[in-house]
Amino acid sequence: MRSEIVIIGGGIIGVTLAHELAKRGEQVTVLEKKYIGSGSTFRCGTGIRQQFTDEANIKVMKRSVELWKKYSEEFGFPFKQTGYLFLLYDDEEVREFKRNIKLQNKFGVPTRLITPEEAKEIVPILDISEVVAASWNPTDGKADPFFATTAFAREAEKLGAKIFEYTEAKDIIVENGEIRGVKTNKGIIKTEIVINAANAWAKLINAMAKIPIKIPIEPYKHQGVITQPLKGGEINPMIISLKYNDAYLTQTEHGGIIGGVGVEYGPTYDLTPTYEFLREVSKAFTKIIPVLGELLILRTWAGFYAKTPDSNPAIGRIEEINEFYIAAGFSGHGFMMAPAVAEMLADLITRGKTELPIEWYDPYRFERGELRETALQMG
Amino acid sequence: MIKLNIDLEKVNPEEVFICGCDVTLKDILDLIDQGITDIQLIKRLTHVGMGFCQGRYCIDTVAQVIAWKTEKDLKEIKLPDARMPVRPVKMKVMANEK
Ligand SMILES: Cc1cc2nc3c(=O)[nH]c(=O)nc-3n(C[C@H](O)[C@H](O)[C@H](O)COP(=O)(O)OP(=O)(O)OC[C@H]3O[C@@H](n4cnc5c(N)ncnc54)[C@H](O)[C@@H]3O)c2cc1C
Ligand code: FES
Repeated sequence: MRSEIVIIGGGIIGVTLAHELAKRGEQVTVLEKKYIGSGSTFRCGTGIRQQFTDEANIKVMKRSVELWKKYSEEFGFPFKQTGYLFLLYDDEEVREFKRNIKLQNKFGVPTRLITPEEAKEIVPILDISEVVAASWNPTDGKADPFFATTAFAREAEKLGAKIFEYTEAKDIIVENGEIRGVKTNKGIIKTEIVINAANAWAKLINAMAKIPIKIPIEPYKHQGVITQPLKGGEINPMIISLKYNDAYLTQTEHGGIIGGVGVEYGPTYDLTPTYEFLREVSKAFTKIIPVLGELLILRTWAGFYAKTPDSNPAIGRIEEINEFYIAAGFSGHGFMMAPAVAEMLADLITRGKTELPIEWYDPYRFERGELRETALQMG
Repeated sequence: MIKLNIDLEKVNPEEVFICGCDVTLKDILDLIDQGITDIQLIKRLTHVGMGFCQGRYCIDTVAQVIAWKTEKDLKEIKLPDARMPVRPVKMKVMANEK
């Protein structure tokens, strides 16, 4: 078998990229060792925000939200702009967020500082006794990872993309710096172009191609929780509290509360849920919204944050291996970025350039010791 | 693990509920016919194991059905990771744990 482009990894990044490339007439194949979404994508917290603290991520996320809106309407999957509400507890936090808001406003993201009372109007069951202000952007939102991922995969296939599940890349065949093919558990696929979209497993794919530069991406275990449905009070936005253990929480379509806190383990490929997480998430959530204490916790689960030293992904072309690209290391915010990442990488591959600030994610920055300002990470 | 004491060949798959929350044997068999034999995926596509018992009873049954259909030993069927809590527990109880 032959394919012009092979994408390794069928998470949200792999399928949005396959869709974007197929739309441009490229012949593309996705290899997924299990089933699509089975890596981190189906384990994510659903959040999509533009409230970042640097120009590049704000611009990229603004574009991503435009694309989430467009594609959710075209493909018919749930994406809602229910906002992100950051709760702030002291003057220093407020000063910092005022600076972020200014930057976000400069690039067209309508975040504003609101009073605790205004925050309580948005989420009436909030405990605002310690809150001094909140950073509110009503155009942030959330999307359903199951529906979104399967929709992009289906649309990519309609445009001619091939998606092979239960097909694992075992090795990449490189001769004199040129890619010749990918060895899988089901045979060899001949190709000249490989894209590493394996996120938490990206280092293993880089090793297969013997990438000569260091791109530090390591898997860290993070967990999520879901409770029984909450009756009465509604939590539409994603609520964030950096003070209470970097907590994030919101309500799903079914009414359950979903979210997590910053309890992290690793680097590891272990996915056993922990008691410590259960305890810490309960502590944080009941501080933010005391009535959540009455809810039964139904389930916790674990997934990976594929972390880089500056919490920004590595996106771009690796010059030494012709043609090898990477889009991995999303550090806990890859679901939200996917449509814009797909657009900028497809631009780079098909046109050699892009209007989005792809340089920020330069995979060579680690080797050169030019780390970026750390991207704002939740959980 | 509880051993099934019915003959799966002889039942009407549409009438056998694998999970108390509306998942029939037919739903599971249809997926297995499509080549989907991964419990994690079957769970997400049918919601089996995501309802009131949280899989404590029904997942064993699913595993036995997969073993039967794929002619594998039950021990080879990978069960989903145990996910805390073992029984649904109130958040405020956990919040007061040390
Ligand atoms: C608890 C939790 C909460 C999160 N919350 C959010 C959130 O609210 N918002 C947000 O934006 N992000 C969130 N994230 C992060 C988000 O899940 C990831 O950034 C995103 O899913 C990454 O997508 P991906 O396609 O790069 O990776 P994945 O979905 O992991 O896809 C990579 C795929 O590659 C496959 N693969 C690996 N090796 C091979 C091989 N050799 N051959 C073939 N296939 C291979 C894997 O099976 C996997 O399916 C959260 C993560 C966790 C764990
Ligand atoms: S009976 Fe529905 S989850 Fe087990």
